[in-house]
Amino acid sequence: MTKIAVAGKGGSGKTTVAGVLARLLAENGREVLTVDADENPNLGISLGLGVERTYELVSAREAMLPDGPAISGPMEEIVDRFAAEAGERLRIVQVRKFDEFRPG
Amino acid sequence: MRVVFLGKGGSGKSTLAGLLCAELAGRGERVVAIDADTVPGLDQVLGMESTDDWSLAGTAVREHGGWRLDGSAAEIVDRCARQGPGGVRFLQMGNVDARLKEHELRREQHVDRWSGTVAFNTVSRIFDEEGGWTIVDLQGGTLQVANGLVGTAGVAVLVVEPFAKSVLTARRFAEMGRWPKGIRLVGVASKVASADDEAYVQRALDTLGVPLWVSVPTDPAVQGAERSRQALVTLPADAPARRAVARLAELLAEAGAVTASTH
Repeated sequence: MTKIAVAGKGGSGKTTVAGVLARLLAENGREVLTVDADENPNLGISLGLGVERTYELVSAREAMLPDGPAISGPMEEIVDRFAAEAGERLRIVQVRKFDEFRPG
Repeated sequence: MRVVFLGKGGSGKSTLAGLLCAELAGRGERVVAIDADTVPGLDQVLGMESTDDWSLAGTAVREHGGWRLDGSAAEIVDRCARQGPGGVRFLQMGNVDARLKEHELRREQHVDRWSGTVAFNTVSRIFDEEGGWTIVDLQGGTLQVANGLVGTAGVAVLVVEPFAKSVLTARRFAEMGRWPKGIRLVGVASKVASADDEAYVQRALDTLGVPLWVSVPTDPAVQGAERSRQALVTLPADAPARRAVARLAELLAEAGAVTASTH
């Protein structure tokens, strides 16, 4: 397995590069899992999911019960639980987002 | 008057916040500029040396296993702010929590209650106690706003580029839930290169029920100044971006006058 991290300043094009790279790899027959670790997750747009589906993506953090266990267990299980299909051989996992005011 | 800049990373928050500080200072207003971004850059926009600034973190005191910044807001500003051009007082706050954490790790102290809110508490106090203008440049994305860093009054300026990701980010801000009472959420279009660009941002903000106050055009003068490491505040007054920010300052002043008279 090859892991690729894309880093840089806000607005520099990280998400665009990651999204296009993932699509090209998938088109070339690779099995690709993308991880949107940005707290302001927009990778779905670059993958071509469209704005609505990207907005509706459920992040791994919010998919868990507030008092439930932290994410643990075999990686494949976690990915299977939280990943959304983004195309052939292409999946996306969103880590977390902050889309409401937090109490206190 | 309290003004908070928010939006996607790279949307132009720091640039607009810096230009606004300069504009207001040029009008003789008292301005405190706060860089709350964990990747700071507002000092450069203001034409100040970008230093490894420990001043705020250095004055934090231990309290209940956490940290607190001691003194009134005015004292903190006097003690820690650096003087910028035109009398703007600048506070670097986005790195404070990281600095304190570093400090604790270095001394191998046990962090029993890492609240991570020293900066937040200080910003809130400065908001509440400072006269004049407080301009805050937040980090990209919704995290700091979700944590309450917008304070409880003033204007939140949502900076939106004519790109889908920027618009989606704007939507996240607008749909976070009920905004604290007394905060007015307004939109500014950034990097506008055509009438289509402006219409795109306008439509997006209309859908969200957020008024578009000002459109800031892409301005080669801004890019040129950045590349030559020249302070953006030295842009000629007729540079398109500066003119747009002057308009924003007027609208903010009007909003502030209304707020003041209703209290």
